Amino acid sequence: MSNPEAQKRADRIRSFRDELRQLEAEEILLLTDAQRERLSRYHDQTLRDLAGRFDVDTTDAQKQMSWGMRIASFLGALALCAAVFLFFRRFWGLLSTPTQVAVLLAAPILGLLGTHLAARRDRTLYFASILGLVAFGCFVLDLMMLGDIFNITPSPKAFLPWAAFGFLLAYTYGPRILLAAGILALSGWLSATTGTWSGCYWLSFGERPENFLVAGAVLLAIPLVPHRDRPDFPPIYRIFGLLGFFLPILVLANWGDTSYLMLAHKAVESFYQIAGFVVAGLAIAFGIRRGFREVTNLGCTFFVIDLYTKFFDWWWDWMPKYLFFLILGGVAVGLLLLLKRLRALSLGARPERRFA
Amino acid sequence: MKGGTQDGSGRGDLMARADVIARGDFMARAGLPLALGLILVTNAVALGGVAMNRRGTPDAALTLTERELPPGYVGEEDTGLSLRLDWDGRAGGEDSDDWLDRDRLQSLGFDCSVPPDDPRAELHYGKVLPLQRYAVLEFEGESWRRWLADQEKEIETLRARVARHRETEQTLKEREARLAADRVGRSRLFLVDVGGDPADLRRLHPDRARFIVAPAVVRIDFSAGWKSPDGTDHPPRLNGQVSEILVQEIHVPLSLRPILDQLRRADEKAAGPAGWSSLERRYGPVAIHPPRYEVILSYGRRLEPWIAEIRRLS
Repeated sequence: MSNPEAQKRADRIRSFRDELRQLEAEEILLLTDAQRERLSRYHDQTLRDLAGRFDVDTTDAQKQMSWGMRIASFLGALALCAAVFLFFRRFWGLLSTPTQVAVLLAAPILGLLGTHLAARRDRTLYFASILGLVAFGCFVLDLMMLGDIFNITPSPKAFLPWAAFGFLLAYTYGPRILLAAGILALSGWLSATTGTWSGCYWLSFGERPENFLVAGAVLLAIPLVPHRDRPDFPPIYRIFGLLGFFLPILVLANWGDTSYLMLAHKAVESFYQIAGFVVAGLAIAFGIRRGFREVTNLGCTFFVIDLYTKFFDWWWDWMPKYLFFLILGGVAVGLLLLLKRLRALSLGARPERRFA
Repeated sequence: MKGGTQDGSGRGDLMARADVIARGDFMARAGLPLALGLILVTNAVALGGVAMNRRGTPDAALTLTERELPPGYVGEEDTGLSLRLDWDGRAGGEDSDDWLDRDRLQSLGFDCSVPPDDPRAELHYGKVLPLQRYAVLEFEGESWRRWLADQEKEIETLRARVARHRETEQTLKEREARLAADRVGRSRLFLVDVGGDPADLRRLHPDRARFIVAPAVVRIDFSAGWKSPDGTDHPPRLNGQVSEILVQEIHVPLSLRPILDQLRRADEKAAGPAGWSSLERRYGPVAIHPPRYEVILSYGRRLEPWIAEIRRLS
């Protein structure tokens, strides 16, 4: 059982207890004292076990604290990465070349060992997340600075070991932030490689947003491989995979001259504006059908962004501003009603999803 | 939770759990050694590439000076030091803007199938992305002499205009002073050739003490035809340009820094606290003083440079 699975189990037990209290109060279900005692003992014991093995949150207050700790650890990790980078820049000119290489090599290794020790000692993984991200940052710094010290021609190949390192840390120790780091590096490599297929210089890959679509498709395909031991990872892949579609489409829908398509930029923009709505609609439908909340939410978000961007293009210049915002508000209400209806239909068609 | 099988069979559930445990154990056992191995192998590959680049006779070894390798930008709180390869993109002579023409761009791999005067040309060439190819830089050769000759010709023309009172004496004096400064302070490295195969370029420019072959970024430059206010037609133009030599900031190792550090301290004393950190140092005009150091710059088998020696010039 993984940490998220343990947390889900603890949440289910708490919900079950609340519901049981309600059912007993309404005299729908009445347990004997012996049954209630046995059930209570079993749940207490299960929660103690889960808390002991996985350090799960067993109350709302604990959950809120956990969110705060997650945010603090993320910001702390970013700050530490910046500190390592700036520290090296501050002193690297005072070191001989062999010492520079030794320091660069030692930094990610020490970060990795620190992550390993932290993961063994602290089940919450907050410290492992911080040290893991620092180790990842040190590895990025390592290859970047070797490139500077030895005047190596820039190449997209560096993204591959960075991605592999991020994935290894994530799948070994579990922090999702490290998975995100690996995904970003993999996306960089895939997009740059896609760009070089057209023959262009690799650092120009960002000039054609379509290069990111391949990375998006690959990321969306990864969760097809079962992740039974890491059930919290597939949503992260799906989020980044969808961003790999939505963001390029959004850019192309507004700046058509950046497309590979040999069409006038207005035609390109129209094509991608339609594509934006279609992809967002498909994402919403797919998310509802498969019960992927993150897919539905992202689909809704980009549907609204695409719509508002279009409204801005059409009406901002000539329409009175109060009317423009009135229409935006009205559309938001309309969308809410539509989504509510979709939700009701989905719940009616698939009642088993209600408690999923 | 998606663990277990959908049919609810106990055996399937057990197998799934066993699979989970086995894979979890695998990453718990192998994750650390794999990550350590990845760090070591990646560093070994990077350093192996460096060793391979520097093994044997260099592809080029030139003795340049501060004119071609001025100090690079020094960031705040950055103790590193690099020299910036300063080169001129023009080949010199009358055809300096058009030497990378349509045929040449086509041979470099750009799709130049659409004639520049075709109505589709603006869309077509607007979509063409830069390519990584190889450039040849010549040091103090024919291009530099052609460039000097061009400048002298310009000054002669200016002198004639001053004689006809169509330009001021002051303009002429400033122009002459600029050329005098360029003669002692300007880079003598000029771009002379571009190609897709570095070995071919080396065969064409065999003098390894005068020509550098280096990876470079080549871009297409297209301008649609237009009519000036006096009614003159300007036809559409299609040419290319080398926008970047791929390693332009060359790191100075600690062992070769003493001369540069002395000069830096002297410059900072003269220029105030900004010294080499000032943006002017990076973006401003090339120093007009004669060069104060010379550098042996080598390019290896992978066409990556390194500084072999720095000597003080008297």
